[in-house]
Amino acid sequence: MHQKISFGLSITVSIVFGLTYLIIGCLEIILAILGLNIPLIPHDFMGGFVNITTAAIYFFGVKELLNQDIRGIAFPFFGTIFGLGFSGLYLLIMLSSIATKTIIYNERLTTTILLEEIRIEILLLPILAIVLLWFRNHILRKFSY
Amino acid sequence: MSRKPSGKCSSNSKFYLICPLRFFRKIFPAKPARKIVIGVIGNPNVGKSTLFNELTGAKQYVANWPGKTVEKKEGIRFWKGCELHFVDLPGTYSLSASSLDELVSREFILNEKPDVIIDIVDASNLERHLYLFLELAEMGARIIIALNKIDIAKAKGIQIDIEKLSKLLGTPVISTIATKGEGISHLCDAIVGVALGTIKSNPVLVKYSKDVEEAIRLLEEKIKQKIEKYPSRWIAIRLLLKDRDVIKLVSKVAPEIIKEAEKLTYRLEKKYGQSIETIIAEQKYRLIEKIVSETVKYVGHPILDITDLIDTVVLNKYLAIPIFISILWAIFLFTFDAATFLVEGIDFLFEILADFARNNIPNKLIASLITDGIIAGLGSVLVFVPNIFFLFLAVSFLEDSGYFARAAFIFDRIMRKVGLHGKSVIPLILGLGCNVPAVMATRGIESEEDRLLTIAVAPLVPCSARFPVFILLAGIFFGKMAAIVMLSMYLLGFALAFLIALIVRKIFYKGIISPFIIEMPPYSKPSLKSISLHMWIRGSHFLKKAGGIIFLMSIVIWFLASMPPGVEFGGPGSYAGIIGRSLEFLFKPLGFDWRIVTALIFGFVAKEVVIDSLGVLLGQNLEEALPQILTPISAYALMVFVLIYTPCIATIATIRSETHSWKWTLFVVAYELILAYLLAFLVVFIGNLIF
Repeated sequence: MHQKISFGLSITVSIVFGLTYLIIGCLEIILAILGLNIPLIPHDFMGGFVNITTAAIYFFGVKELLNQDIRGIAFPFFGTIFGLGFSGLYLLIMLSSIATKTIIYNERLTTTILLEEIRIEILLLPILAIVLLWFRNHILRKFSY
Repeated sequence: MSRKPSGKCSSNSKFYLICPLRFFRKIFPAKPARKIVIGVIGNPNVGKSTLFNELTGAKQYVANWPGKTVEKKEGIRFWKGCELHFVDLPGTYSLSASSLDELVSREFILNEKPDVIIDIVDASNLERHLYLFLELAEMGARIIIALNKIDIAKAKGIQIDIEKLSKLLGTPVISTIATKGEGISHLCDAIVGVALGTIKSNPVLVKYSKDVEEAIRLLEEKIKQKIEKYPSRWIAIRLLLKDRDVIKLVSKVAPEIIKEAEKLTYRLEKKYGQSIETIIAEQKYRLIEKIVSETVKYVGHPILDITDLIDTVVLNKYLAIPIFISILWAIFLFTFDAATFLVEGIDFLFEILADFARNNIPNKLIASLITDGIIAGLGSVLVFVPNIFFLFLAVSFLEDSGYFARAAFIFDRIMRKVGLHGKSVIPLILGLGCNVPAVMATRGIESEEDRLLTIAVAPLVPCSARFPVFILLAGIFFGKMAAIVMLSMYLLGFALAFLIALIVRKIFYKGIISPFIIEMPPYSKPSLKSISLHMWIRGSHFLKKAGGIIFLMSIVIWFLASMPPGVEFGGPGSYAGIIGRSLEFLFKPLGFDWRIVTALIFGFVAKEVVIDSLGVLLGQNLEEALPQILTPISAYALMVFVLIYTPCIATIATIRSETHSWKWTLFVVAYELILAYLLAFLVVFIGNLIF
């Protein structure tokens, strides 16, 4: 039964997402310390902390997955849910902020406003959703309750 | 609360024409419905509150973590001519009365003598849950087993022979899925049947080993002659188990039996080389094992369990705390940033309303009362309704998902290090909503010392009433850092709770902290209906307060701010000014002027009143008015003061009723006031040194 699980793909997902979140997280913290802003990556100390935590979740599973231990799947699976949750939250905040500016303060919706509000984690949302679906359809449905 | 049975006629008079039976009954009233009292009991997190809600149509607080039912709740349902009066008892693993929860349940069963007891048993964990059933059987209760979570058991490959189980236990067993409302009508039928005697309930009794049975028999003979009110076999077993309450009861009427029981217990312990608790529990579990082996089959074992998978990560030694902090941060983002649109919208509406009232009410006094009093006061509090509701939505989501029990487990180690009990986590987390249920939730803590200690520190957890104060000040003074400043308040609240616990433990209680056992419920996807309901139940409490006490306080503060006649509104010559100025000298070192002092005094009633008072005294536009009387440092000091000083009158009253001690209550009030002052002063002192 264990041979059916694609350990290789799970390891790839863990490393790719782990590195992505680690880089974004470090950048957000560095920008927060320097007080700088760049498009898509806000200066957000706590946001950076969350991203590094997400990266750690992905990395923790790599060792077990390399040992072909099925339980290692828990880490990329939960990491994806965790990342997806935060991406959804950032999307909600973006929508709320845009609605406040445009509806209550009567500002026009421009690309500048959009660029101010959007952050890279929101762009990861569709990719994370696909990965989660893959986990659900190819692993959890076959091997869990 | 009550719900008529489906299919019965409505009591609405319009229906008499189409419902001759009801019309007939109106003329020839039927006998009053027979009242059947039913105690609903079960292990924590077995789905008891959900089943109770399904049975009664009540909207009792339900969550996916153990220990939320801290006191008896009642509800009614009419069924087949009977009035079923349900009493929801606190979740408990046994009835040994080692905690207040157990005592409440036990006293109800023994003294109220309900007609039927519904023992809710988790079908996916039959072995552990049957222990409580055997204790109930010894108490002589007429029991019906509600075999709940049968769907989860099936999904786990557990097959139960319900008919055989019922036969072996000697009592009706009804399978239910409380979350879907399945099995409720069968359960009601069984209740009526057992109460009226048409269905038999003769619960099986444990047949202990020969020596134990002989000891029970000897005691029973003597007990029967002296005590009639309680089952003699149960008293005999409890005496052997050295039950303090039962010993107290028996010693009043027959002290000689106590001595006899002590001798018998000593002999048994010597013979078995074990404590009497172990001897009795082992023999009970032997019977349970036998019953389970004959009725339960396991069909196939899955490789992965979602709950296990998630727990592998969230309970990981290194990841647990960062994940917890990240989740806490997500709650703040959700309540603070995601609700922005609604908060700004409500603020905008209140501004329009104030302008409208000011321009259209000719009488100046009434216009002032409405704009400067009611709209300014109430508006400054109501503007935070979206934040409060968003906070409760997030908390309810976490509760229903099952994460709260994990949080308790994660923090158990930390709790012990600071001298608190693992179970203290639950009251502390509950305190985020309101300190009153937090203090009440300490009932689940067995040791009185641990309980008093938790009560002393629970009010330090920032409740939702303090939330508007923090949002307002953080938003005005700290801009983009507002969320971090907010988080610092919560971290400080918890840190202080731990620190005070450590100090009080070292000074007053040097005993060993009792062991902590918590059930980890399976993770479940929270339903929108359920979390919305929770959000509404808790949030509406805030709305009710706004409509009641805060509305009233707005008028009182407006009166104090505008009287005696002719003074400047909210000026130093007004009554509010006189009150504030009389204590201003005390708060000068903290950078608070008399208006802040007045607001803090009124804040004793409820913390939202601090904002309400400031709204009235400074006008609705606090964003412009507050920076004129506070610096960012004194604003932070004010937040610290509000965080620590006495939460509200209701909490003080609850502490008094839960501890039965004015001394302890006054100690809590006094230490919080002193600590609030000292820490606020420290903030100002250090802040001025650094900035």
